[in-house]
Amino acid sequence: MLNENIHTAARRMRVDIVEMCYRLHENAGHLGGCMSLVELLAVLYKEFLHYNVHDLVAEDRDRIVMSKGQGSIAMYAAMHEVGIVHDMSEVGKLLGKGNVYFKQSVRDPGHGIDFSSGSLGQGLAYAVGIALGLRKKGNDRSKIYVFVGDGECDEGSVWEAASLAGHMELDNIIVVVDRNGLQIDGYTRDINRMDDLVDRWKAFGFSSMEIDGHNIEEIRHAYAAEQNGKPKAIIANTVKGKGISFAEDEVEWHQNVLTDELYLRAMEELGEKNVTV
Amino acid sequence: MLQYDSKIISEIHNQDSRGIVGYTLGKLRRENNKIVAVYADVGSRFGLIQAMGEQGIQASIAEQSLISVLSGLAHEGFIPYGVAYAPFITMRAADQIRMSVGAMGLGIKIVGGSAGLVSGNLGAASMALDDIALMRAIPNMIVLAPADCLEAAKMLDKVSQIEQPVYIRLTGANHLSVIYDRDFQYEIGRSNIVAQNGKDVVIYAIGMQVAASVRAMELLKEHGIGCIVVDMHTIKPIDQEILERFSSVPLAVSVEEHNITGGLGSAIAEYLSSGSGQYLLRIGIRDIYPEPDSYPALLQEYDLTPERIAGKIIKSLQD
Repeated sequence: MLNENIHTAARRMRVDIVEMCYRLHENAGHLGGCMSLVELLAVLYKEFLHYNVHDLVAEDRDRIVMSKGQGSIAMYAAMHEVGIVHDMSEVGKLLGKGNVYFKQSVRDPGHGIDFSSGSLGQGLAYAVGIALGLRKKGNDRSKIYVFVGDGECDEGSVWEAASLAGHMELDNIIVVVDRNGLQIDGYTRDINRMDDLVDRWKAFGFSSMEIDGHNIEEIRHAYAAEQNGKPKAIIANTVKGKGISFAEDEVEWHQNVLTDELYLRAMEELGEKNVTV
Repeated sequence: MLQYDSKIISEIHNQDSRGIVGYTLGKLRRENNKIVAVYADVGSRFGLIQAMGEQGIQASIAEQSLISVLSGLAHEGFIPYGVAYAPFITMRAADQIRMSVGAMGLGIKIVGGSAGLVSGNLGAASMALDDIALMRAIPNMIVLAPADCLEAAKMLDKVSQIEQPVYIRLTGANHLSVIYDRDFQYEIGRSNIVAQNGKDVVIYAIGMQVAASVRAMELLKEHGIGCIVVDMHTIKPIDQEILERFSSVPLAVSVEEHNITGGLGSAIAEYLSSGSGQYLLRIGIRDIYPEPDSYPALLQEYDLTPERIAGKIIKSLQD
């Protein structure tokens, strides 16, 4: 697929993310940590992920575990891009009774959501359970993509699970670390420095690599890389808030309110015309 | 569903409070290839390693991950049992349980061994005295505690047939008293009257305390006090029918190897508060972590021996 198509998809996803965050109003979406994931999700959903829009629980589908719950909205944008979500009206206001799609995902396999997020550090162990289940069922086709944040890697349970996945040589697991460098209290390098993330994952029995998480070619290459009987960790260097000037690398855009004014500005920056509030 | 003939029942009663898990799951897994057991470095202690074969999974000493692994397996259509020591599989992994069971609604089966005071010589770390309180607060969770090995086997068997999440709490060590010496109908949420010699006191007990309460009943007889002893094997959902049925008995008593806050006593009190006004004497751990001591000494200290239970009841009736 042409890089141009992915860039176009990524732009549309960013528009969706801004739209969803705006709909949340004072309930503030996780704009920053969604924007950093866009290219990683765009390439995955458009070029690598196995799914069937008419049978979202098909046994041979790939599973997605959005362990960093703050990325849920970006996942819905990717799902919209490939037609799992048909129309943005389905997403609703991301709140309240009767909804399917929430600010942080709530498990609903029939709608393509494999995991309830919101408590950091639990997705990888859940993926280990899925991986073992797939093995027992003789399903050697499906892969499990787990998205974790770099701040999330502070959680000990990430490493507990990483150790298990490495020990069990679960080569159907792909962990993507969205290393956007920021968490609520500031830069991760100031809070719990992990300069050596590539080596750490390697030490836990993963094949690991570092990429520019906004570079289409590098992302594609990383997803395609052989696993050689090991789980894989892709350390993706990204920019939190990527694509929105006032949110890029700004800690307050971890979770923040898009006012009418900022919403219009964001849409304009993304090239959307004739947007009104 | 296993067949409980006399040979099997005799084998069951030869197990200890941990071995019964491997014994039962080992039989169940041959009937249902969806049954798997995941254990946290306790496979040998619970007799699981050989019994489970390919359907056993070693999760290492990582109870938090173990719960999430169970959830992933349930997501893929398996019936996963997680087995570890009670304090670590509940309190340590409480957040994972909250997310797996509460938020995702996955029907995992959690088995906590050596609950209550039995590992008291190891100190507060190894005493599960808060596990019922924690598990009871998780929406949709069923909380069970068997009174003997046959009831434990029946529970492990029964819960494989239901979709809901379950916590099974095992107390005691070995040479367990037999409450059920023959096959019986086990039903979640329907408690069993295991002994009765009068109607002055109704004792609701769980786990090893059912046997202690039956002996207390015999001691109270000598004082002219007649009792009903109920095995309240299901703490959640609590059997409201039996609580209602005995609500006019002069004294109700709860007996448990658990903090009197949040456990069986609290579950009964919640029901009683909505109506009868029946007085409830709660016997259990009085909101502290006990000093490390032997199992018998701790039972004595917290009024969980037949003599102490009887003594507390006599005093309560006099007051």
